[in-house]
Amino acid sequence: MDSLVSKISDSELEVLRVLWSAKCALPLVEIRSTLEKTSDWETSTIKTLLRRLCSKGVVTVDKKEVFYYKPVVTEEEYNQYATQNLINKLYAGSAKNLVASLVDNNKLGQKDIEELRNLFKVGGKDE
Amino acid sequence: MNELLMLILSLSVSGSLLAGLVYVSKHLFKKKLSKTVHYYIWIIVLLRLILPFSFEGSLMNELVKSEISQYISTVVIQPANPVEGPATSSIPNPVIDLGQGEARSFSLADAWSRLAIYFWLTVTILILASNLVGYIRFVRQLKKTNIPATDAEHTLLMNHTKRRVVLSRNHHVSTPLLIGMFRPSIIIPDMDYSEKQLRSMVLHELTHLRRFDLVVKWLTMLVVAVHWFNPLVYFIRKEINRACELACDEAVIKNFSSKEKQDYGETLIDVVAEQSFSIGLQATMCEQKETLKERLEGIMGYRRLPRRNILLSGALVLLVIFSALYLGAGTGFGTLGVFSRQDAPPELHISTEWNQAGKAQIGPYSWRIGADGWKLADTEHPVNFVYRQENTLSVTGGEQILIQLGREYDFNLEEISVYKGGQQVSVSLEIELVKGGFYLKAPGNPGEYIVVLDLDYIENGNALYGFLVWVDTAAYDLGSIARHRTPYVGDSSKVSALAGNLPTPDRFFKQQFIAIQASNQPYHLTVYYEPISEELSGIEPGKSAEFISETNALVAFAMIENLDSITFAFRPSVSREGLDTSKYLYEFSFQRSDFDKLYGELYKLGAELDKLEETIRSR
Repeated sequence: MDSLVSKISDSELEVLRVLWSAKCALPLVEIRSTLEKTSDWETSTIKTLLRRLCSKGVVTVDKKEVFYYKPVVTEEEYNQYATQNLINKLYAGSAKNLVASLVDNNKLGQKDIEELRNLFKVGGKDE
Repeated sequence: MNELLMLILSLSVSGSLLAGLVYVSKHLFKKKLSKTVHYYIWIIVLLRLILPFSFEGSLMNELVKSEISQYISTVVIQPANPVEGPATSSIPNPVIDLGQGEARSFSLADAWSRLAIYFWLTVTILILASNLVGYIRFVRQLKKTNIPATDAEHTLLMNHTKRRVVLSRNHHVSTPLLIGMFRPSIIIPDMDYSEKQLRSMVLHELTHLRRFDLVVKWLTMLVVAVHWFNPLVYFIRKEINRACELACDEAVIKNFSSKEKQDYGETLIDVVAEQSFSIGLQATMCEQKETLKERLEGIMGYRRLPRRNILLSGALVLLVIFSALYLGAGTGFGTLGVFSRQDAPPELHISTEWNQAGKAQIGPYSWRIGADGWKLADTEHPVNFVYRQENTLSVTGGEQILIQLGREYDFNLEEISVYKGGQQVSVSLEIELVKGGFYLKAPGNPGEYIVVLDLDYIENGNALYGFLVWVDTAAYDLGSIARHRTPYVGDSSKVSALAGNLPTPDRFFKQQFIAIQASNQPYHLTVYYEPISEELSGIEPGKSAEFISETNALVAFAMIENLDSITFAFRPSVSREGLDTSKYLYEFSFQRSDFDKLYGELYKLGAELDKLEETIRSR
């Protein structure tokens, strides 16, 4: 899910918000009429955004009389991701040096972890 | 400004040198020192980088002083120009300290170093601000998404600490964190844990808390913010963080059994393993594997060190501390030196027996700072100063004046010159040296004098001072007096107020009555004086009373247009039932016509207070 979410641009996010507030699949016309109030995008722009969202897998499209668009990623999931992103940035930026942790933020591969597990055997001699 | 630049640079240099020393010695004594000692030694380096204190003889100080003194001896500080205008309002600014205020030297190096300081400071402030803001936002985000830990977890925490620590779980962290020094909270990733794992995590974070590691981290942040230009501090930060974790591990497992140590190390690996699945707290470099390995090896290889290693540790710590002190910082003359030497000559306090107190104004001087440095102030000669109230003493002829040094120094009184009306006069001052100062006798004749002192402070330099002495003259508050200016002596309320505002010709008398004769010319005013208290009964007005009365007469004629003559009368006893003219045994009388010959039309003069004041002064 997160790999999907990370690819959403700001403009695409605007479109997603419309879809989220609708709670059901929307056709292009309705999406456009909502967006008209807050932006000056043309129909062609909106079409392109939707197309991109679909190809990323963030939105699915269902053909009935016209195309109906439905978000795959929920707003909840997106917010989670956004928060995580923010926290990561802040941690890496400055907070890391101002808090105490157990381990460093690592991303070790399976192999490395195996290696360490095999390595770590405390000797039997009790002090 | 230049001094600040030197200070920062010297702190950086000595800190770097010390870091180098520490790094080398740690490698030499690796196995022989506990990880805790390894950690604490770095703290000494941090302190050396941030504390602007030094002994005068330290290495950096010597280097810096020779820089500064070379700079100072070529700078002569010019004072601001005195402002023309009312005499009492402004004073030329004689002393300008190199460390504050404007030094009007046009050295290019000075301009560059100013620029450098501003630039350095800007970056430092930006770094500090961004760190603080980032931290606050981080904590806020976590607080928003925190979930309280289970009761069992809280219980376990309580078992290991008496302090109030909040325990929370959070979906967004991938390693346990300790946050906050004053209201600490431990945040753990929102997963399931075995008791062993939880115990390891909690003990680790609590150990960080117990050892004030957060303080060290914040201090490190400060050091990096200040020394951002020095690439070594980033290395130092990394080393300190590494040493911190190793020392923490060591403290946690100190009394653990093998099994407990195994559990602890495994927890570390478990947490790291979990991290690779989460997206939390992004990874940075591949060094991480090495540091984790180092920690695990440290746990496996932990041995309690023999007693004698404590001595070695102690010796090394002392060595590092001494090196830190020896390297020092470029504080100019040592901050400890601040307590023993100032960067300007001492103040001179002037006083008389009648509890007057004031201080002399300082004129041109040269003063030693540092080993070879001199500070020079080139101002007007004190005879040209404009003196304030606090630089003035009002005395009777021949009264003793005490001059005291603000700080103890050996000195020679090179010369004293006395000026009256801009000309030097020769008077016998009867100087008497005492501890910390000397007495001198005020001139006998009435008038306004400027006393100029030339003090030689031997090794420390020399300085010129000046102060004002009014002998048997009084202070005329012309502003208040002029408010009652009137063309008519018959205007009794004004005339009465006027009489009250004139200074008393003898300080032991007070003005009590007046009598106005305004029916026939010549119009006349009599001002009556009596002793200020019963105990003084029998006294006569002093030598200066006539002179002051004469000046009073001058002012009276300037303020009352149709006044023709005036008398000042004194009685030796305090009055009881009103004015009894027979009791007034002493009097001084003055005619306007005599004054007009000397001073021109006095009433006209009374309209121009500056000129009137001039006239009074030059008497």
